Amino acid sequence: MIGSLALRGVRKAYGPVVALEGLDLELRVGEVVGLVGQNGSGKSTLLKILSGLASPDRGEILLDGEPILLDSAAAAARYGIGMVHQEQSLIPNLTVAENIFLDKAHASKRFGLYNWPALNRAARLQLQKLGVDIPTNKRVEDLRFSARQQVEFAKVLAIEEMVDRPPLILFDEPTSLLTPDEIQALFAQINRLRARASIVFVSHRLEEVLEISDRVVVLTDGRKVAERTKQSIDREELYELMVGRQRVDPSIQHRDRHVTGAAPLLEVDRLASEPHFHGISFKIGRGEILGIAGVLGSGAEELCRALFGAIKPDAGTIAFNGGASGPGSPRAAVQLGIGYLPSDRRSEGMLPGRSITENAVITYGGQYGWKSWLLSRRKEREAAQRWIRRLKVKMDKEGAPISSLSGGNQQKVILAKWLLGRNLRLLLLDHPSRGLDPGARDDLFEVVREQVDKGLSVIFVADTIAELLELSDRIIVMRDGEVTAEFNPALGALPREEDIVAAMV
Amino acid sequence: MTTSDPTARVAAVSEGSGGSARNGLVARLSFLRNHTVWSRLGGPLTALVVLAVAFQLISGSFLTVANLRSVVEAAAVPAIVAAGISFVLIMGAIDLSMEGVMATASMVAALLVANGVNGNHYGVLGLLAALLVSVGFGLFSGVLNAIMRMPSLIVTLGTWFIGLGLAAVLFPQRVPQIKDGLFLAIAQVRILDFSLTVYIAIAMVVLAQLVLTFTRLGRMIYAIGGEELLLAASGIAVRRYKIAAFALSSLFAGIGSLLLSAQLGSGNTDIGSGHLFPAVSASVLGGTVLTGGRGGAVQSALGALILEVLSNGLIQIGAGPYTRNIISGAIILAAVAIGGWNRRAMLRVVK
Amino acid sequence: MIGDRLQLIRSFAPLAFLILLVAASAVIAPGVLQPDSIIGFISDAAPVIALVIGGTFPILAGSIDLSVAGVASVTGVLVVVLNPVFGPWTSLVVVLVAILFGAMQGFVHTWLQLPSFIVSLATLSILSGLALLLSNATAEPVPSDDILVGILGNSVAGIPNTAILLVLIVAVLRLAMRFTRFGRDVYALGSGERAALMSGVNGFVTRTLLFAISAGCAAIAGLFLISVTSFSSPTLAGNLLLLSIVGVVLGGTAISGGVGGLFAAVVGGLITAWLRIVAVIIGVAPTAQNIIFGLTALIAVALTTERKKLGVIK
Repeated sequence: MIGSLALRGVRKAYGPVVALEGLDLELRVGEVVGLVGQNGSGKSTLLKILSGLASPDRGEILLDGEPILLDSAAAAARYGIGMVHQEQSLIPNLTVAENIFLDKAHASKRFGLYNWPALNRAARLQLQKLGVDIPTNKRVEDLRFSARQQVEFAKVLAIEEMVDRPPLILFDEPTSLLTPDEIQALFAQINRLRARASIVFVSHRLEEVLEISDRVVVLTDGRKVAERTKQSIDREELYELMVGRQRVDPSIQHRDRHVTGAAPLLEVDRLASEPHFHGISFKIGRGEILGIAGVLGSGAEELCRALFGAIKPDAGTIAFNGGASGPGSPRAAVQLGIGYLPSDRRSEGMLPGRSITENAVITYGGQYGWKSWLLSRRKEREAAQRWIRRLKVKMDKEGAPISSLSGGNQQKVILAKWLLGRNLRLLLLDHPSRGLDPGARDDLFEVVREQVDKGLSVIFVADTIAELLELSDRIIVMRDGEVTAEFNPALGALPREEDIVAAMV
Repeated sequence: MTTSDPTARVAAVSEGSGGSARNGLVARLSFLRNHTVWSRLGGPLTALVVLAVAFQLISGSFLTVANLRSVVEAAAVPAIVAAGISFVLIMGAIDLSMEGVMATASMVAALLVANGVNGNHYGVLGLLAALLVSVGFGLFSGVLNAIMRMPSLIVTLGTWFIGLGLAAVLFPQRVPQIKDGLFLAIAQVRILDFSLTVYIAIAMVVLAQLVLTFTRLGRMIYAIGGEELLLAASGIAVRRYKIAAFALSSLFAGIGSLLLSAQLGSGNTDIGSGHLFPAVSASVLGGTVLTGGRGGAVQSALGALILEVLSNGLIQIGAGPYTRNIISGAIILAAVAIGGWNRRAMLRVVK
Repeated sequence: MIGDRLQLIRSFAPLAFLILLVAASAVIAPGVLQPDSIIGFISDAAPVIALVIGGTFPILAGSIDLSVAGVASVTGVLVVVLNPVFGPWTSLVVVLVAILFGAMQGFVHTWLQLPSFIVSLATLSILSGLALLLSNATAEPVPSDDILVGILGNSVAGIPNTAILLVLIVAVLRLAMRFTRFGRDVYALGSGERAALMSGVNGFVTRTLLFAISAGCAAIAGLFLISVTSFSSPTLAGNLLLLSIVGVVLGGTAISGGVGGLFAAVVGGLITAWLRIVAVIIGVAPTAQNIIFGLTALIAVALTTERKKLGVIK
């Protein structure tokens, strides 16, 4: 039986951001399709559309030539589509068997009464398909991660019996937390399934995608830029295609470095925090911008959080500002003069209900008062106003809640919060331009550069490579929690984007 | 309170590998042997034995048949209401309304059966009406919590006092003495030297455990406490289970209230007074985690028994009658603190 | 801005409601606005207002203190029991002890990361047991030599001293909220705790202080109560638990935290106290008032809770 699922001209936009544009894709039974692309290339949107979690704005989905509507996970399951989630979708305190049949009607659960032996038997049957032996009455939270993934897998495979066609199984970054042995076991299972299912495999590790896939699809900026069979893959070409339109404007003049020869401001030695990153060592001088490149899961974000004291490292040392050890908490970081612009702006960056001024003065307002606890509301407001003007924040009045501002202006206010600190020495920028319009981004970067010229040091985890090359004095690339490459643009010519991508995936 | 009994795990593994060949009955029985509920009773049971022995050693008069019997009698109603509130606690929510529900249920029942105030004699129907009113309270709280999306803490605080107020409004000029023989018999009939109350309590606790283990409702109550957002994302109608859990909690409170009213022989607006806190403590002692997802009815009932042993034993060794509140307060703090110790994290938000 | 207008409605609707309530009851029973009745109202309302003010603080940061009524009751008992030890200054000592107790409670809540409702529910149980134990479950007359209670029973130029003390407390707290780091940190914790912690707010100290203030206000409410009745009983403030929470939400302070404040607390306290008078006027039995307060609390919470912020609602 040959079955196929096809996407025709699919478009999906979130507000002004176009996630997918004019996408055509065919998925056939007996074939593994690998999906590669950078962050924001549209991979996860595509998976959401296929699994019924998002509906396309335009275009159609055809099953064996007939258009179908995938408006919910349940609808997708009816057509035999299931996803093995990156962040697992199992209920931790239910048993293995319950989880496998959680979203499915089953004879063992008729009339709301559980026939446990029957349910366990049915679950065991599903697990046998994978050739694994996991006790079905154990609670999922008591299992090791890889076993949980097998359960997740079995849960998807159980769809097979609900429909009379070969299933479509989507794997969303299934390998990121597995050991090499576990990955090989997973691949063996995918190979076993290959003949009777159609499979989509997404991973940020290019090697894995090339190993398992029959066909590789490259997404860049929401478009399919290439589709290659296993035999016709050229790595260099893939790297080039993945860079996409993030080319650096060749006319950009790189700024002069002002790094003084004095002792470095921050020295990180073999820092580790499992499972996020390990063996990270680097130095950063005063007045230097260190850019970090890495895809989601590379550990770059967690590294920033560790430097800010929000994650406790397991091993290694941080030496800050001449020997002082790293911050043990965000509060300690604030006192040391380390600022952090979080990537999750809504829940970690701003106080939604509070005014613009209050958001700006929450951290360092005390420095403008008396003994840091008695406030001078006039002085701190003036300081806040200075920065808000300098950053060109567009607003009605400064007493309005910060949530009334656009994303770019919110980000500016959060930056102002840190710049208010008179002894700010290090600023950690974690995806600072995420969701910002180009104008706001330029305003933000301009002020950052200006402060760096005055001696501020910056660690910058970028959204795009172009940005990274534009702002950084030095670049390190991280993959799977390790530094894989280092570039020093300020010393010579800019590195090629392809080389950075090659170190990232 | 995460007792992970290694033998239970070994048993679970062997059952997992070769159970399908066994015949149905044996499979069912072996399931009971393996299920997590039983492996989790060890802790509370040990605590119970240790306490009993300790009190015996100190007072010399704790482990007598008469005293143990009185402990069991006293623990009957607390065990019922503790099992009931477990439905809500396992979801990670809280139900403070118990004392209000019990007050209203007591008045409704006393005024509808044959009594010394009015001419009603609806008998069993009257008792059923009281239970219906109790369920009504639970449905009300559940709807406000699940559909109006208001925090259960504040919702049930409201229903608690509404219940007290309703009972006060219903209260006639003088105490409504219960004259219904059947109703009074609950407290008076004794089988094997235990009152009927004890047997009803055992039945209710077992029933609650069966609901939690063998019904979709029960399993969804656990799942809501485990990962509610994921559950909702799987397309499961979470709200109806939440409402049902509140209804069950109130139903059990109502049953407890009727048993107490039968013991007292009259309707009383104060009947539930002092039951809420021991019930929460008992659940926590039995291994319920207040963030939800863990616990059970039998465990909570054991917790209630432990509390009763403790207060009985303390009176035996000379502590005053008012120490009960103090001790259950201190116990819950200690139990919650120990249970939650390894969950502490730097940026964790706890309100 | 729609948000602005909503904000405005939220802060002034309770005040408008209070004015309407007073006006309506004045129409039905003109006597309620006589100077005598007003003074009677003040001494009746003072304990409730003090409890509401105290209870507001933890709620502003998204926590809740259910132990306030217990603190008030124990305060009354301690003033009697400790009199032989501390003499005329007993009540002052007791208030300090209460503040210390509250601080400990806040400390346990944040340090052990236990939900505040369960910590304070546990201490409520402990406190009510303690009140019974210490008083041996009997009501005792308040010793006449206690200075603070004596002062509270009197008045200056016709204004009851309770009212003056209340105004003083509000003024001090108002200054602290406006001009110290503490005040700002409280709102920061209430409107986005993670962001506040990532901005260097000391959640630990702030929460500890909040619960200290809450218990301090509750102790003063206890003093107000015994200065009126001149008897202390272990169940003195038993039914004030609900009233204190009702007052907080009726003033417009959101149970989800970050919205509200002292002004809202005072207005909410006044509404609650006045509702009791209205209940008497329209002939609701005192015992049945619980229904009214339970329902109004539910309505107020339904209107003010910011559901989006709470995420999963338990």
